[in-house]
Amino acid sequence: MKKLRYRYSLRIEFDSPITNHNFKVRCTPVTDERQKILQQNIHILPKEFLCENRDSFGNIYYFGRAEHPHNLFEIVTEGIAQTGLAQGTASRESYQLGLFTRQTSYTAPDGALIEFYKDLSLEKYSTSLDKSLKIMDALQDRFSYVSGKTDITTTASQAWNMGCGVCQDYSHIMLSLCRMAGIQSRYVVGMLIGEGLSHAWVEVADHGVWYGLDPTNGIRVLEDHIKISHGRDYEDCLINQGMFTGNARQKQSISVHVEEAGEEK
Amino acid sequence: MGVKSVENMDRLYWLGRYSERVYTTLKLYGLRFDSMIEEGENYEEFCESLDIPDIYGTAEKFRDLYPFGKKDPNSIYSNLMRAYDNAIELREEIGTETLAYIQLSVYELNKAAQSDAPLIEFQNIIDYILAFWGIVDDQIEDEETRNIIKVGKRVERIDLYGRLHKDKISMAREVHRLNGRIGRSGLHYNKGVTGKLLLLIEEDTMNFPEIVRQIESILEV
Amino acid sequence: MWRMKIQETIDLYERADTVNELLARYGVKFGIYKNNTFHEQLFPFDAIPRVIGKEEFDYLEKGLKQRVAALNLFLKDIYNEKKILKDKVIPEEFIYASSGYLAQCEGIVPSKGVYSHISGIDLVYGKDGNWYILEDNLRVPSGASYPMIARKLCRRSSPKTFQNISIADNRNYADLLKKTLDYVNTGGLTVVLTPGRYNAAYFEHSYLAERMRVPLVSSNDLIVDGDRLYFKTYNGKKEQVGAVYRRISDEYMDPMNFNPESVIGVPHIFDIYRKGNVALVNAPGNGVADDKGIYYFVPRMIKYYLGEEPVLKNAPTYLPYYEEDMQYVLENFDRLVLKDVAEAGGYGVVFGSSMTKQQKADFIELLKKEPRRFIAQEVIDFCDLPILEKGEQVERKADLRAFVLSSEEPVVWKSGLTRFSRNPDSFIVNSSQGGGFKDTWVLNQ
Repeated sequence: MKKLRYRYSLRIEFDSPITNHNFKVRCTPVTDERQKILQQNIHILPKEFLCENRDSFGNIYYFGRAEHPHNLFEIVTEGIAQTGLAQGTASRESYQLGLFTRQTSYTAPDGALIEFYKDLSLEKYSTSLDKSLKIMDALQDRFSYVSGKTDITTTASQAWNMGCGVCQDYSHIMLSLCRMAGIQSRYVVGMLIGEGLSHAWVEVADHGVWYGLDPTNGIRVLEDHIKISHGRDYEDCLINQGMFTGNARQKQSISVHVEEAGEEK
Repeated sequence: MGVKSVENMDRLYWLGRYSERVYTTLKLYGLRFDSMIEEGENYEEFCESLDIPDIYGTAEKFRDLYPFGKKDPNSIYSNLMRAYDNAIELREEIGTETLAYIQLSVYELNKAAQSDAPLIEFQNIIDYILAFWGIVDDQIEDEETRNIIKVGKRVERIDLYGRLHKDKISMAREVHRLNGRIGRSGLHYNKGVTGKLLLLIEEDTMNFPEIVRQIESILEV
Repeated sequence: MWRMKIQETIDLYERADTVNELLARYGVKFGIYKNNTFHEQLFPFDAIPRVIGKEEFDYLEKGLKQRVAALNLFLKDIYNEKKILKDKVIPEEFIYASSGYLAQCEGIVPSKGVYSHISGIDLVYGKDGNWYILEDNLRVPSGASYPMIARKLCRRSSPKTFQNISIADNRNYADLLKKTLDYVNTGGLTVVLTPGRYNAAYFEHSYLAERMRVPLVSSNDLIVDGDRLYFKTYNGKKEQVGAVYRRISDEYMDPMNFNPESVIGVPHIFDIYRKGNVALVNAPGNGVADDKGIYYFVPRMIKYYLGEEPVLKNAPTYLPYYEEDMQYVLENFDRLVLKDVAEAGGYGVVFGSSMTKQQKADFIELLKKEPRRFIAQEVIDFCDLPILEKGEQVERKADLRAFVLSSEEPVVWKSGLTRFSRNPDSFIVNSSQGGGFKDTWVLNQ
């Protein structure tokens, strides 16, 4: 069990004022069996109207619109989470999770990835969790972390053919392989202890429990991760969506900071 | 219906204006047409009086293009289509029965374009437009809706009378009618303009350019 | 099926031109794009009605209510509990592979639990004396306005006919529709949302709004503020909207939730729908239930959800996905019509009999490779209906779209849209292909 202090911040600067800015942000951790949000503050600018809602996957999101001219859009979420309270979180019934065995446009495999899958010989493993751990191991061996080669539109197959990528690519490839094996699996966005950007990993369902696996680091998700959202792939977990009037160039900066909180009450 | 969108207010107003423009220009054209039967009458003067560019070249072309020209933005056809474009998006506001008279005018103008004696069809269009105004008055329940169309019609008529240098009595009548109506239309308008118009029609010689200038800015708030 | 005695309706046939003139007068048109330009066309009306006797309609009514009830239960189940998947009545890949399935709708129960408020069910009458369901339309079925206004004009043109024959009035459609919308309204105005006058069915949008006495709006007139939807009025006020009869497809309804390129949608409308603060009619995500692949399972749904035998038959359909059906399809290939589940609007439909040997071999190979992609159907020999052409009666293919309105109780509108094909050899009754329409009479006795 750990107590983590987190701060997620997203700033978008526009080089000329924009108006009628409709936005939707998904960057707030939710309490579940594995993590408990002890306190949380959310700050969104500009704040003309703002509503909280849950999406179809149960993620919290905020939507709103800023009509008046503005040059800056900013979201900051900060709080304290207790993590590692359980191995995983409860899933719905297996027959209700069919959606998570279907490949999406991000995860659909091509020939090379299918070949790799066949070579894994997963038949030897009985549970979905064991199969997934095997997939994660194999992925660690064959794929390397390099940033800047892939971008947010890169699919699992494209990344696989390049042989390297970032957490998004690791996760999409892992999902592709899990789904080929019929394992119910989903994409997760969250934060990892340390300093940097938001992180992505996967969850796989096994006998009523969603287990978190972080293929980028080759580890189980226990105490060091704070989960924000999940979905079929990257697209279901977009942190920020917006549309506005104005012809502005935008500069986006994200910073994530997670550290162990002191013992103060 | 009570609640009206910005766009529908605008459409009602312009439906009023274009129906009037078609009506008055058709009548004027009818007078011209008669004198053009024997000889090429001086049509340039007509263009000048309506403040439209002379793109026609010959009296014959004018006779054909001014009423039916599809590409000429000043043709009667173009003005009627603008009335139609507004009306078609107002079916639920003005009613199918009301809309029908604009629709019938369009069919009739298309028929006139094929005819050797288009004045017959033109008369039918004039009848339809008169019926349109009649049904607006008679069947549209919402007072504001009625008034916006009528304000459009009056504004257009004052504008046309100003360009055509119509007599003082006719002009004064139209300005008074507009003045009595516009406050009950729900339209945002420039009250300074109605005030000025009332003064302008008191003058001995009509300052037509000023009347036109004023009336065209009436909705500029 | 009823055939009218000619003497009883001859007066109406003789006045067919009058009725068509009146339809022109009132601008009863549909829009069509030719070479990328928009045209308005009159929808040709044929004066010989389709006549449905009372007993026959009672039977149809029973079957249609049953079918729509089951489809509504299916939609609620599939987006929530998914019991039908647990009990393996429908294989789950048919759900998730459907382009009409929207994951964004998971967990949403719309106002009063109604999904398909307006259902357009297409049927044909077979020569064997049976009605067959061809297709369910649970998204934005259109067409009710045409028989509605045609009836009004027929009555005006030939009062004698309607004196002689007792026909159920169909001009109440707008009242039924308004009731359906008011039933699910979450508080505020009811409006009709149109993509605009260049939509094929714009006449219908504006006519229904007029008849219901509700505003016809475009996306620019609506705005989400806080967690409510408002109609922006000229005087700067905002009127809350509680029900939107939207004639815009799911994909274009909300650029913040679906296609971000859409300029005819209302940003965030789906977000507040999710919160239960507005009723969207029909509910988003209904496409999963009117998919060609799902069609096969509708009779099973009826048994599963209602514990009843289906009253109305599907056209005999085979799913090559099932080994047994695949066998049948291969053995009877030349008699069947094959449809690609993913295609719509008459595309992806091939007749086994019209293929060359090579085409057939290629097709069977594809079928074996992707069995889930196709359904196969018996070619129904359906009854032609008489139409008037240059004063002569000739027979043409025709179908019937019945409208079922679901509010507290489902109601089957006592009429429907009968479309016919213009060409003697054509099965296509689509208005854009030059077809026309007929009134549909339901007799009072």
